[in-house]
Amino acid sequence: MKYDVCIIGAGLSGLAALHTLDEASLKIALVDDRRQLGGNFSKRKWLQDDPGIYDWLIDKKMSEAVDVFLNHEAVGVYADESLGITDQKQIKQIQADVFLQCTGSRELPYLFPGWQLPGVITLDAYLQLRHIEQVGLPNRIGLVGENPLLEKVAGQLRSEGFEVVQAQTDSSVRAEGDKQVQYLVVDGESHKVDIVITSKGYVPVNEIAHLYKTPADYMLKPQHQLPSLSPTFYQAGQSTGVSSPEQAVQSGQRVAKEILRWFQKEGA
Amino acid sequence: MATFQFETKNVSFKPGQSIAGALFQSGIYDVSYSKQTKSERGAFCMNGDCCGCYVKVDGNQVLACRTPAAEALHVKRGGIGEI
Repeated sequence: MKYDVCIIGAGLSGLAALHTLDEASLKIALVDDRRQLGGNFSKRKWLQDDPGIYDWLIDKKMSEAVDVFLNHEAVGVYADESLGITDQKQIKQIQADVFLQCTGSRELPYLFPGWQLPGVITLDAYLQLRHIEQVGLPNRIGLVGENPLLEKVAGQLRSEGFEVVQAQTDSSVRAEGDKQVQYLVVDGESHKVDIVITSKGYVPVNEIAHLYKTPADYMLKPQHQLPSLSPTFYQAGQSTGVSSPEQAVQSGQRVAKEILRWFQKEGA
Repeated sequence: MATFQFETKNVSFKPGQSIAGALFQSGIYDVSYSKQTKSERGAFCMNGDCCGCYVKVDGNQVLACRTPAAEALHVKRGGIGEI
């Protein structure tokens, strides 16, 4: 399958780039390992003040020149630099003039003694269970880690009547239980809990860049103008180190414009 | 409500839920077992990364968080390191 652009990742930056490129009538492949559009933002949006702010990106119609490969994971690069993707049943080969990595960020859990106990979950897992899968939560919830968003989660849960135990980042913390988490011990004081949510922060997902031998220089400060790494490989969004949803959308749009300039220059 | 079987229990699920989500809702967290650490394991990241939620569905090892729940499945506790 031959395309002008293959976008890996259907989150905010991938969709922002897609719609900009789609308007220029390019033939595009959009690949994502989830079953829905929206990437991590579909769960992390529930930590935003206005969760629906970027729904338009997900709802916006695509032209027929776009092929969407949901539930497909990018697994490797062929010798001709085409991308191998799989739905775990068969491998497809995607050829494209330009590959755009929009793989976002992965959550880094805060690890403490007992984190392996069943019932200890990451913040992303909590958001997935609660808001995507509509799972009802038990009443006593522990929160551990230095992700500043945990503060917001604690406030939300308390206002809904949950019993919340929040360990400060400088506390000594461990989880205890038989077969699953039952207690969160904070600074020697034992609290009964049903589940524990842990989070440290987020790290860019950059495997595709490494496959294309163009590992990113992580930026110390988020920037709006993102560098392109090679004529045929670009990246945008949180996989480049930007952090806010707004910056992810802007970087997707800006990199898409850069790709359009590349096509104009190449005369393709 | 639709159900599947986990070990000997019937577990109900809503449309759109994964096996891990449905089990979590039923208060079943110890869905897997690590031979290496000899301890129970459960869904941790719900994203397919941590591999803590391997279960056996009709004899095949799958990640419970990435497998949609379906009517009349036979799900058993998985073993990490048994693939």
